Amino acid sequence: MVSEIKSQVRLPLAVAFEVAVQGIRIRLGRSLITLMGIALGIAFLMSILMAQACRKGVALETNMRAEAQRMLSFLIAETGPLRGRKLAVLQTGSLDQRETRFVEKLLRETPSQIDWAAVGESATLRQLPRDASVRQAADAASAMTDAAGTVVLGDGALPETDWQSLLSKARNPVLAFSRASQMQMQPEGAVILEYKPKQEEIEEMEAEARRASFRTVWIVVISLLVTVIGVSNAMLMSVTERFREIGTMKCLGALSRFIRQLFLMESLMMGVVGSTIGSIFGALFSFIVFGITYGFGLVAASVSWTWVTTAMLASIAAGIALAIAAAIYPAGFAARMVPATALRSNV
Amino acid sequence: MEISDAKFQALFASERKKERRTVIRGVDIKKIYRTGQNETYALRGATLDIFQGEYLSIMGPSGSGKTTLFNMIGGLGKPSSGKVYIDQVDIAQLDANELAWLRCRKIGYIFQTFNLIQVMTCIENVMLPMSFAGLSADEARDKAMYILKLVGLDHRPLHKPAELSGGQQQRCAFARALANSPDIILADEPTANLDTKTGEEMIELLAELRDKLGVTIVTATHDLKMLKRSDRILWIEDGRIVKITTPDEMKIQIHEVR
Repeated sequence: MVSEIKSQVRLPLAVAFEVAVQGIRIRLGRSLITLMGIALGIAFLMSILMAQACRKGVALETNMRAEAQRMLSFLIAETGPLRGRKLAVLQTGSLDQRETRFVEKLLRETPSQIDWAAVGESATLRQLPRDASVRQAADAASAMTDAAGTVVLGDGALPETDWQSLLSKARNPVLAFSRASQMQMQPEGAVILEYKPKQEEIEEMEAEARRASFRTVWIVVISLLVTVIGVSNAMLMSVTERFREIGTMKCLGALSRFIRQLFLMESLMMGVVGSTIGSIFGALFSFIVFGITYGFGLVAASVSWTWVTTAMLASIAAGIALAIAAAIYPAGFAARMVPATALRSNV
Repeated sequence: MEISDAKFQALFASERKKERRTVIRGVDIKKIYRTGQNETYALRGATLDIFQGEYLSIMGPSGSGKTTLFNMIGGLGKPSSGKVYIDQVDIAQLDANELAWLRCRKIGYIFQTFNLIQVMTCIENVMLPMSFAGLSADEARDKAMYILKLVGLDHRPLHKPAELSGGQQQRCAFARALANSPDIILADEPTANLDTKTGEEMIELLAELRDKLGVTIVTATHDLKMLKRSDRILWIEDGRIVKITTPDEMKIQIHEVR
């Protein structure tokens, strides 16, 4: 009657999950500290990412506003003050953000009337700016009649027109192009509102951006390393604290696999919760800091929220990965322990 | 604590024949602990046969290697040299999964310090080996409750070990050892930390398990009452087995000493 020795059944993950949940619940205080470690690391990462998004957004926004203001000043320099005067706008294709801002500023100068005409290949207006003074004109000629100035906006191609004869109908022969690329035929009295930065300026800006991104990467890497080491240490503590428990479980027939799963699972759960909390607080922190400095409206309007969402998901994923990476060594250490050794330790 | 009813018989499904078959065989087991340069011999070559359905007590002063011998024959550690056979299988040849199966199904351990898992309730402690054996939670709960009743702890299943008295903790540890109806029960000084009443009940239960179901019982003990109930007594000193006696011979020796 020799009974053969079989292989131990592999337990489903759910069992390890249950035991891990129980472990966290029982040692809530310690688990919370580990959780805080992960949350802090990820909060730091997220605050840096969020700050970057805010800075970029704010810079873009202020740049845009300055650019629109500059375009307006250029125009006014040619036409004189616009208050109470008639203005013509020729739209080709769709407007970009810079042009939209420019139009907003134009309206704030309170011209008596803006005649808005669509010109170019598909000469239809998608939308007119909402303002009492804006009227849709049938064509370029009717818009430009009696105008103190004509502004050409949009990304479409201009039709071949006798600009000179069109301009002669205007009260003031000012033709301003918002884009340098549109001015193919150089009529008399035409101005370009667009500002093209010089090559050196562009290079300098790019170099500065590269330096800044290198600094950021460096700081982020260091902070994440610190997080991994901290969590790893906490997990090791947790393993040493539970030597006896692990040994007992092994004596009762737990597989090394199960012990490993137990610790990885625990770390995973703390990673999920910790990095979610961390990323929310990190993003909030940077948002508030930038909000206080630049105004919440500006920051909220200028930040690319899709980018922020992506960054948040990425940092949560990073947090989970870090938590698991930090647990690999302690979990392996616990799993490899010989039951007798584990039982002998008087921890 | 009567274990004659059908349910208990069913628990230990295959009734063991009372034949004189070797369950555990140790051949020249040596265990050396190394700490830096120092070598400590815990066992200096122990050879022993443990038979099916016997009650073997291991006697020896502290530090003589009782617990080490226990761990070796229970498959909890690897001997430095020598072989351990359980059911004629060399356990050094087993892989981790088979070893885990052995610890889970074949052997029930009762530790000197109970080693209950502090974060789990009493019944969860008893259910743990069952869930390692693949029992569903409901089955395990039923069975655990039955075993707790058997050891007289069914009134406090949801208490944590820290909320139980020493005797109750030992009952819980006892119940856990019985969880998967093992063939062999290894008990390291099971009555050392107990009050007399619990101790006697435990001894009684162990003896009954042997008598009625042919479970092999190995204990390390100094308890005279326990020695009296055992079939053979193995004396260990300084890592060596010095003699094997019966309880009757022991009585004579005690008289001689005194």
